[in-house]
Amino acid sequence: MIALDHVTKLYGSVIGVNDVTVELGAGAHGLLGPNGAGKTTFLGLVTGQLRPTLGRVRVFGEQPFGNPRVLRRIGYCPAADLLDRTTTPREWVRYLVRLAGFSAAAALARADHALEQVGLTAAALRPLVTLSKGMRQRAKLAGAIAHDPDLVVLDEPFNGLDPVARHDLVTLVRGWATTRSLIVASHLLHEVESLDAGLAVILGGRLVASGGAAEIRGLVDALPGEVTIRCAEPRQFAELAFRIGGVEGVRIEGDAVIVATHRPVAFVEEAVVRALDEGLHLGEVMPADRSLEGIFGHLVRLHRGVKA
Amino acid sequence: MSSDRTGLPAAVWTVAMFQLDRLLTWPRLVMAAVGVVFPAGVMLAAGRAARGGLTSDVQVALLYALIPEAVCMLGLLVTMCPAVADELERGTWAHVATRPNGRRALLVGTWLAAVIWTGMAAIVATALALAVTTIERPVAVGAMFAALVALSCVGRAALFAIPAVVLPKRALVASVGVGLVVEYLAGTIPALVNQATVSLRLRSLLVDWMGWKRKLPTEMQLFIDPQPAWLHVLAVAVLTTVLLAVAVAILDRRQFPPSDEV
Amino acid sequence: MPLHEVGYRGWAGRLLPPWAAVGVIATTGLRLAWKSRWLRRAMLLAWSPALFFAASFFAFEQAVEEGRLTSLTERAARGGNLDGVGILGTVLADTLGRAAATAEHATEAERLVATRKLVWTRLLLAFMRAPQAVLLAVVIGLVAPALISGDLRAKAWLVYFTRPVGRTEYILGKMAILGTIVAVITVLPAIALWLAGVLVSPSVIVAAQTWDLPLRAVAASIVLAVPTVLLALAYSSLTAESRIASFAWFATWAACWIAHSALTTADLVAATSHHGVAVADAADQPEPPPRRGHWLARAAGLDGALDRWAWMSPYHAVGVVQGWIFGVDSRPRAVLPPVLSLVVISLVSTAVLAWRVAAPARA
Repeated sequence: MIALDHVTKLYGSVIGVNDVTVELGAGAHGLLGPNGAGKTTFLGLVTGQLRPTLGRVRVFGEQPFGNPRVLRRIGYCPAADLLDRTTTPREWVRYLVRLAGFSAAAALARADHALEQVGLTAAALRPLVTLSKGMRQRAKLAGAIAHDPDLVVLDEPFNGLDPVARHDLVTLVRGWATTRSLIVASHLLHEVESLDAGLAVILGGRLVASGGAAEIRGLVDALPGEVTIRCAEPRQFAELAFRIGGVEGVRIEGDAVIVATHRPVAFVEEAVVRALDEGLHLGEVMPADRSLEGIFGHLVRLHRGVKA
Repeated sequence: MSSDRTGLPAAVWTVAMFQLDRLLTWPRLVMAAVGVVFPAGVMLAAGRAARGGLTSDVQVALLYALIPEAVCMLGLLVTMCPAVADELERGTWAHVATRPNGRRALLVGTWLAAVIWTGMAAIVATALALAVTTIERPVAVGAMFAALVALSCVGRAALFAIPAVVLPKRALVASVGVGLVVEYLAGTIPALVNQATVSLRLRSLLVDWMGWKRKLPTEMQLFIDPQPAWLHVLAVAVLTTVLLAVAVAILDRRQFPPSDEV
Repeated sequence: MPLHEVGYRGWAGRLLPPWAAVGVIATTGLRLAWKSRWLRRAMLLAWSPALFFAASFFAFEQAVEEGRLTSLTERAARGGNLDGVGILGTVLADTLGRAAATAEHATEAERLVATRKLVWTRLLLAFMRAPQAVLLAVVIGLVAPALISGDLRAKAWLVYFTRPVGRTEYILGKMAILGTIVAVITVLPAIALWLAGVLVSPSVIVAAQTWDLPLRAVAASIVLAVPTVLLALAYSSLTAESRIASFAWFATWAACWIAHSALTTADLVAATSHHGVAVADAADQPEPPPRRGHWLARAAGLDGALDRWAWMSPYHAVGVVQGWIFGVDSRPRAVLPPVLSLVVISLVSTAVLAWRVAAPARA
């Protein structure tokens, strides 16, 4: 469905994406990466807004830039907020459906249906400027699906939403994944994980990892993490850590023992029990940074060849 | 693909109607009202200043400077120039650019909306101005001005489409420069260069339709083209088509990085 | 477990007074504006006419130095042009011709001083009225529209007014940004031009003879700056879309200029028409008009005809008042209407600014 072949996109001297080669088949895909990683550039290339500086992009077998045949089958929800002051969600979605090539009557019907799907019927006739960010986000989503595209591309669709709205939209998007192909870009792993999507991790413009959610979680678990333990007997604890095994390195900083290990969760479980058995006095246990940012940092170091 | 799909013309019309809807805000309506009233106000003041000394021909000449030139140019600056910049600022560019024929429909649709909006305001301004002047044969003159307004709007909106796609963030200032250089500088050079300007065509049509050819001083004859009227209309149509085609070709190739959207 | 006090820690140093916020807003605004390539190019362009005019100062002083002033004046009085300084030759010719026609001086030295004063005044006035006023309108049109509308759009006024910054400091700060630009485009080049004239003249005594010109240039710049800056900021405060403010700015200049031209044409037609009553009479034309159609000579104040409609156009109103400052035209009926219109523009703009800048806080 989507194929990028050694694609590089430069903005002057700034790298957007760097030598990315990937094939995404039908189904749901998550694009993970911190801010500035190149997710939006990647999506811009896929949705035909940008041309690659090097390499080739194919969507549905054709290049998407300026290609009406491809654009007709894509629905895009960008990250940027909708700042059109006077337009209502109904007018906006109807406008987009008309631009997708539908007749006036069909556009109206589809717009109403899409707004109903995203739960915006009650606010459909209010100017966008009077809506909350979450409601504007729903309007954007409605615009992306109203013309029934084969591929829906969502860039940070859950940004700025409160937890309830976020949960509702995740449920909605998960439902779409069953009837059409989906690409969701986000910097939050748990949001994308919940879609049961294949994941691709992008950092510094490079595609650093890809696979199923379980594979990525396994990668996360397999990456070395640092556990910090404050102990009254740091040297004894350091010795204990080596005896437990699976430890890459230990360093002592005052009363803190920092342990680098490939299996931080398992290590912590075992280390705490054995430390108590040996009469050591533990003050604090701080596990490795398991956030996506922490994982990103590990992946960057990995790709730079820096030992963990 | 659904059987009720429509093509580029329908998309252009959709954009035009949408843009006209966006123009129906109080600030825009106030600006249009000022543009409508301005020529009548000036003509009224000029008539009183001259204490009846302004002949019908002089009044027509003044009205030409005010409406097909000033009002149309200013109206098109505010409606045509932000064709792309508006979309970037409102965060709507990505939505439109990812529609089939979205870019082309946006540009040509905005051009159409600019022509309709400005043209209507200029025609109302003409009617109002004629009501306060002592121009002979006001209905015939009004019809003539309607034609001149239509040609002015159509041609100059296409001219402003170029800076709108080349320099969207500075489109207004660029269009002022283009307008001055192309229409008011090149347009008054009695050489090949002014053949590609709307101002030469409008001036020539004015002189032709008012029957002023024999009354013009010799040195002023350099600033008009004595070709038949249909040729001037055709020239404006050709110029419009070429300018729009160039603008569309440029916009088709333009890329706006995500950071360009505010 | 006792909680640690991690609350606000008061600043132990000396805080600047509230009015210092004006400087902060101004310097920050200038730094941001200066990032624009177009502004930098426009500012560079704004200094280029000064070189052209400096050449004319040099040409005049060279003529004085080489003892050619008398022959030049005679040639000008006969209606001849002065070569070597481009279109400014016409200004010089008209000025010298005027000087020859009106001068009654006891000695050659006195005649020279009077002629120099007249030439320098006209050149400086032409410089300020013709290239600089137009360039200033363009540059302010580039910078001013976004100054307040940008804050409205980004809701940055929340950031300003949750600090100890009042409405007055905010407005003055924004005015200072534009005032600095005005100074760089009009005052500094005018003073530099005067200095250049002094440097290319035979003696430093020339500075004493023309000491008032820099002060008049400063006053003329203030006359230009105050209403234009206030008007530009008022437009900027009325909308969150800077391009609307930009359009309103340029449209005001264009529409008023067109109205002024239309009404002046109507006056001219009436004056030459056998149907109309002559508007211009001898009393309103104390000095001979310049060579026909020469806009730069008119900018130099060499057209002594009463401009009845100057009040209608900011450009022309400012020009008449600047002419009065430079001693060109002191007739009350010539000067008062433009002064009144500039005062009205300034007051209305100030009122709009005061209303709009308070509005978001009230809302």
